[in-house]
Amino acid sequence: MSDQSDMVKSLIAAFPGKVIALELAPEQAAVLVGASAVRDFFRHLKSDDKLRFDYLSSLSGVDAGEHLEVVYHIFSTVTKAKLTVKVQLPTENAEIHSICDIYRATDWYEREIRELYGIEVLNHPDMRPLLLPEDWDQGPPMRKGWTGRDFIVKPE
Amino acid sequence: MDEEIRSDQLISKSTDSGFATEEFMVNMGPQHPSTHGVCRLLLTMDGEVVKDCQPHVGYLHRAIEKISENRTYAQIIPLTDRFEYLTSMACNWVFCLGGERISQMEVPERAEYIRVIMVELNRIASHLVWLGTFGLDLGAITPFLYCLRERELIMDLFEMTCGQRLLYNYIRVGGVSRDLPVGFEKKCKEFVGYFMPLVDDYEALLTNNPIFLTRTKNIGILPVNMALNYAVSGPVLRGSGLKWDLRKDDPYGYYHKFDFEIPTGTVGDTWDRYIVRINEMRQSALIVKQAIEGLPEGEFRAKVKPSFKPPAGECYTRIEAARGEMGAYIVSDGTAKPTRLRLRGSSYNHIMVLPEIVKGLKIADLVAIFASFDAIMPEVDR
Repeated sequence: MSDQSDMVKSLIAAFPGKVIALELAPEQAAVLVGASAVRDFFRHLKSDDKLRFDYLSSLSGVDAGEHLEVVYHIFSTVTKAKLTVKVQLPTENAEIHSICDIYRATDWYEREIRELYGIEVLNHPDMRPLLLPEDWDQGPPMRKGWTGRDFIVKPE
Repeated sequence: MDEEIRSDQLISKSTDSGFATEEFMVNMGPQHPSTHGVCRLLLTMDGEVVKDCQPHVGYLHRAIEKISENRTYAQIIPLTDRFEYLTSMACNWVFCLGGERISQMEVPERAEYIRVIMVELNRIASHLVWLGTFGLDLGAITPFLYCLRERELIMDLFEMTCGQRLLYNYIRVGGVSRDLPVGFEKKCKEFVGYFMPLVDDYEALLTNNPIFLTRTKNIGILPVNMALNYAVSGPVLRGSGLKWDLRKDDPYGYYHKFDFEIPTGTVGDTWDRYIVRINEMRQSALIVKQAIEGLPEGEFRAKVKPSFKPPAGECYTRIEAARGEMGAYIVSDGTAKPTRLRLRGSSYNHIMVLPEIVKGLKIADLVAIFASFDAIMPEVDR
């Protein structure tokens, strides 16, 4: 839709060099944001009068082989707009800034990606494990190629 | 999961009334009749008043997302059933919708109608369980009996169709797994005619009951801004006053063909969330009536190869399940197994917002608020 691509163009113009558009699917607005610009980007999405992105539906970690990704799916209940935001991180020492003071919904999502993917989330108030036990010592389980004591890979 | 209680959290003494009092920590759960599943709430209490509430979740983590990375799409559908067992038709649908969108598949009209009928019947069944257990949590034992009796009729309809009463594994990528059996339409019309007046009976038990009103009016008010900030959805968000329903605001399936309203609350207290769900049951029965009367002939599933391989791509689909927004993010690399499946459940956010609104209330109010959120643990833990 033309208004989606206009929105993506305005975001690229607002953050030169940090945001590029992604072509994931037709009629799906998606951008790739540099890890250092994450906080400013989301603050802009929330506070801008024309954008009004107030509903962050999901935050997922993805292990894409050569790099890790953090994918945010964010929506606006006011303008009905949809946006997918991706941040690419290296597999070793992956770090991302927390946005849980901007969108409170990411509080537990960020705890989850830390324990399941090993992505360090900086400045998060509470980094205790969420789903895994406190004494988990077998590494981030959602990484590709992870094996643990009781994990049996289904044969082909 | 078992955390050492820190001594600095334990004791804070106050001597204002001449008696020395202390705050103490009470563990509510994970086995508790009112936590609706295995949720542990670590409460810091000052007498009856809750000072702080820390949810500990993860008791029901079954690693559905990790397992799905090594399963084909057809093998994942029973796993999605168990993502939210009370509305498993919706879980199946959100996943299949992702597969269909990535592969740009057209679903036949009859299949879309059947999906709507099944999901709306499932919504009614889920709300009936909620209503019964909500009454039980507050001490009203009678609604439970009547709600479960009606739910048995819905279970009969599902058993006729797919053989299962709770975990259906019915909706497939491209349609549904089998056509409606002979006699389903008649039985479904009978059910709708029988059920519509019964909602008034449930209301007569609770809605204007003075004890119920004291327990629920102005208890646990959730402001809309806080709700949106925490990505709360479904009846909880509508109870707070925002008219937001994905069936109308981000349409999917054939909901645009049906005429129904979106009930909304005003204040965002427990009573509002209750009345929103009661009215949603009525609206769902109306949708089922329209769908079953207008059911077209045709195929019940698009032609899909047994080894379904969508092209490489990704998609985030979301639907309005009984508890709120349910989402599925599928990343496909062109093979028969998705590389990443992320399931998003609404109860996750609802339990996240719970500590914010129970501070200063009594523990009995906490029970009422938790029940009105209708959060279940499989959605949280996956």
